[in-house]
Amino acid sequence: MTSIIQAENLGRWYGEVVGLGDLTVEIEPGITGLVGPNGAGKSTFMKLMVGELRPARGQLTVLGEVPFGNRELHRQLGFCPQQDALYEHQTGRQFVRDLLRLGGWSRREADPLAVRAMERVGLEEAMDRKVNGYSKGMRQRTRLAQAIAHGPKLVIADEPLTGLDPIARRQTLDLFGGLAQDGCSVIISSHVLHEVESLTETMVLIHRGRLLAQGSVREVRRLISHHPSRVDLVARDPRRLASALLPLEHVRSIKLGADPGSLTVETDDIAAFHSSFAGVAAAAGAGVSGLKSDDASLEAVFDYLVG
Amino acid sequence: MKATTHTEVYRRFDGELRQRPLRSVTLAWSGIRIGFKKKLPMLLLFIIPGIFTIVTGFMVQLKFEAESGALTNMAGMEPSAQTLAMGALLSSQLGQVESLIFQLLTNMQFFVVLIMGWYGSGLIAEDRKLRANLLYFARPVSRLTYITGKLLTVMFWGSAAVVAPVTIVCSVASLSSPEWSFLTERWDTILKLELYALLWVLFHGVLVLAISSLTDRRNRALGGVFILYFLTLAGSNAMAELMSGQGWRLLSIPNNFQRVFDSLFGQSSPGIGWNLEASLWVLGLLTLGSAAILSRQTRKLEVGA
Amino acid sequence: MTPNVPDPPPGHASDSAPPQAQEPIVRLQGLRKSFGSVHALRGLDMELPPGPVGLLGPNGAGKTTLIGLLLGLVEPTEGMAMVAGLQPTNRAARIEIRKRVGYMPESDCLLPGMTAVEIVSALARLTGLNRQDAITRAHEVLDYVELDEARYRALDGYSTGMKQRLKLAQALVHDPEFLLLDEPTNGLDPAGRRHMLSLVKDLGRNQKKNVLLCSHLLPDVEQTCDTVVVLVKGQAILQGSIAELTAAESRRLRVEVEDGASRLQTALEAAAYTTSLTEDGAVMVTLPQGVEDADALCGLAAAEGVNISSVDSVRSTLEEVFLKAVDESEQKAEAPIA
Repeated sequence: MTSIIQAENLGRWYGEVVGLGDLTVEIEPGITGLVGPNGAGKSTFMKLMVGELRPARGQLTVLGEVPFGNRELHRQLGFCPQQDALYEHQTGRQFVRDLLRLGGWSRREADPLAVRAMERVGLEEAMDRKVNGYSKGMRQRTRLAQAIAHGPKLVIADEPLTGLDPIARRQTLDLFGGLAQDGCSVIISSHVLHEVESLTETMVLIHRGRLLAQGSVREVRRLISHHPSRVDLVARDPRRLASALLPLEHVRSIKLGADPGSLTVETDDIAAFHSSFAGVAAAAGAGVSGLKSDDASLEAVFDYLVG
Repeated sequence: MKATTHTEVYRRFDGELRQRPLRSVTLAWSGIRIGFKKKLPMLLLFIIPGIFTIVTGFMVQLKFEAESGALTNMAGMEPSAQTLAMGALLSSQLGQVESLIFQLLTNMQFFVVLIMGWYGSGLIAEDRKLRANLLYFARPVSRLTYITGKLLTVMFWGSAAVVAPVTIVCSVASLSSPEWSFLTERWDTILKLELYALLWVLFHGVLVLAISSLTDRRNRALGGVFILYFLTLAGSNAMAELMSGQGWRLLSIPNNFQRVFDSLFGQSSPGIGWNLEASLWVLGLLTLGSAAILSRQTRKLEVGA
Repeated sequence: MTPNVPDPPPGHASDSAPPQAQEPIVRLQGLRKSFGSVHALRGLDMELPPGPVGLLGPNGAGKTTLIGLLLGLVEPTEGMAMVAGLQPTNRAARIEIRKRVGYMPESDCLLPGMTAVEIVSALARLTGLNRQDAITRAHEVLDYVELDEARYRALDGYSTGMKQRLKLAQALVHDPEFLLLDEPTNGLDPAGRRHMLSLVKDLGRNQKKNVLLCSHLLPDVEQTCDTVVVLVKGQAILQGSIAELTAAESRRLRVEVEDGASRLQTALEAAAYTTSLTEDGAVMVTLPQGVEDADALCGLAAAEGVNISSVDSVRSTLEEVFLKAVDESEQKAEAPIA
């Protein structure tokens, strides 16, 4: 699979402020989550990818081409920015249509594309109302509509889920899923880690303008070997289970939890834990009903790496 | 680890809440403080009024002192003639000082509108834009308190631009006039002047706030204030010329105030010959209209729209 | 020096008896509120139990109007409302309510040019604290939200996280019994969110405040609240404890394995377990009669050499519960009247 994004030593700064320091990463087709704390460089990276900014240093290719000033490439990209810059006096449909025309489509072509895009984001009833009457969520979806209207090969969305209520959120996540199934790649940045997780396994973690980690959450977690993994267990007789687990070599600590029946185990070697657990639990007869490695969540991984 | 310290750090508040605090004053004071933070506009806006005030003050002082030459001439007169002459001199002095103060007032009028527009047009517009009303009205603050607080803020600045100068110059006059004669002889004029200045400030305060409450953008409100002021002033005078009907001049706010001024101080100005009632009606209606707008817009702010 | 705590005088911000022991902090019955032809609240029945409560609902469901009601800013058109012990039917009561409620708005709200201390103490004075108390209290709440030296700086340079914390502080300054928090984690990065949620949890659970958390982020609500109210089209279509709503189906388990899912399946079925495979390779297991836990299951796995990486009861997430409730209410609305 050829990668859709290739960045090498990519750097971009604004005066003294570093947007991106030295980013080297390759992104494959499909849905990729771009994650990082505030100021890590996500927005800068996205603006570089869509050609809004020029790299100060390093190389960047998107779909095999250099994005800056590349009109042809722009037609294949869709960007849904974080900033709200809609024209208040227009209707949603007009807004999307006009942006399409700016991109080179004729008026005849642009309108049906705009209508279909607005329907896809769930704004079919509101598309002919003026933008200044839209709620925050509707504005967000309008921005999304203009990003997908021209059927791009790659959609880049910066925090597309903020301000959306759970229903709209689910619709948008489904929309992204649908796009991916149609062969369009999606790169989405978000603070809300569990949502990104529900959408895709592939993450790119950025911190302080550099690549921090890349891959599926589980893979990344496995790489963090020096942090003991935490496993949460639930059993009818937690102390019995605890004493059965204690002799295992890789177990670092066992803590009885506040909730009845819960205990937390820290282990140096999660793989070994998994392989020995079933036997130990069966022999102990402590009434095990729950086993969870909370650590394999994006939040936990993020925490270890960034916090 | 930080989470556990929250429990220790949070403290309950066991003090009393005042039953009737002067909330409008608190609001006003916050508003005024914000105005003080930007020194440059303050300097630019007040420099000319300041100069006018100082110059008028000097002229007033000079008026009383410069006539000392005339006094020595009177030394050679008979006592009764002397008294008469001195009386006449004083009278004319007081009259001239009055004119100087009237002149000051007239010159300041435009600046007052400018200053009140500058400080006042953002008072409600900014609250609307940032939705700060949500923070205010979540407090036990009524609409009246809110409006009063804002009004006090804008009137503070307006008073600084006209009530204060008038008061300063009147004080100078009182101090430099022989035996406080300005104060003793013309105290009614002084009162009327202060009242007039206050009315000017109050009226324009309500107007500026009403305009501010209609928009989210402070600059638009500022523009609205000027347009209203100048349009009515220039427009009404132009229409009066074109249509040869003095009634058109009633549309202008400054003209109406001039009519009130004339009647307060027994003067008359060209082109402003109508009844006092007419002016009072116009000003009254405008005030009521502004108050109604303010009330309605504040209600919208209260409900969190 | 042990202080002698006298009976609190009247006009107090916090009641002398903990609210939990008495009435729920908010009770609404058949509440209607209309603005002209717009019916924002249509017969809302709601009771807020003590502790943290989540308020969920799609946009346009009436949340803004409900907040206005809870703050005593709007008067009900019809129905009974009781907020913090007062009924918002007359002006005096509505103003009094605001002494007992703290509101953290969703939008930015903060006027630039003032420092955090100035804003919080000014708002405290507006609520009725005297000058001394207002400043002391402002510092106390700013300590609580961990806004340190920044509190002396003007707002203009504040990050989103700092602004959110400041808004929480101003809601707390008069120590209200009831806190209304509207999207408190808006725009916060994961660290900021965690901090904010830990504050909310602390306020609701340890400080024993009644907290109503309005949020679109269901995991936030799941993490910090015990009960939840779902508001759709001006009515509460669902209310209850989160634990109950997302109750585990106790006889069903979801088992994730590293390898050999089908081997495990075969072994389990032979032992009278009912199983099925999910899309992502996990095994859904229904425990047979007489089996109450996963010990035997583990034994079977160990015998087959299968490594188990996760065992969990099948429970719905709050999101599923929410979406299902909204769906059902829409169907009910469309269904013809029988």
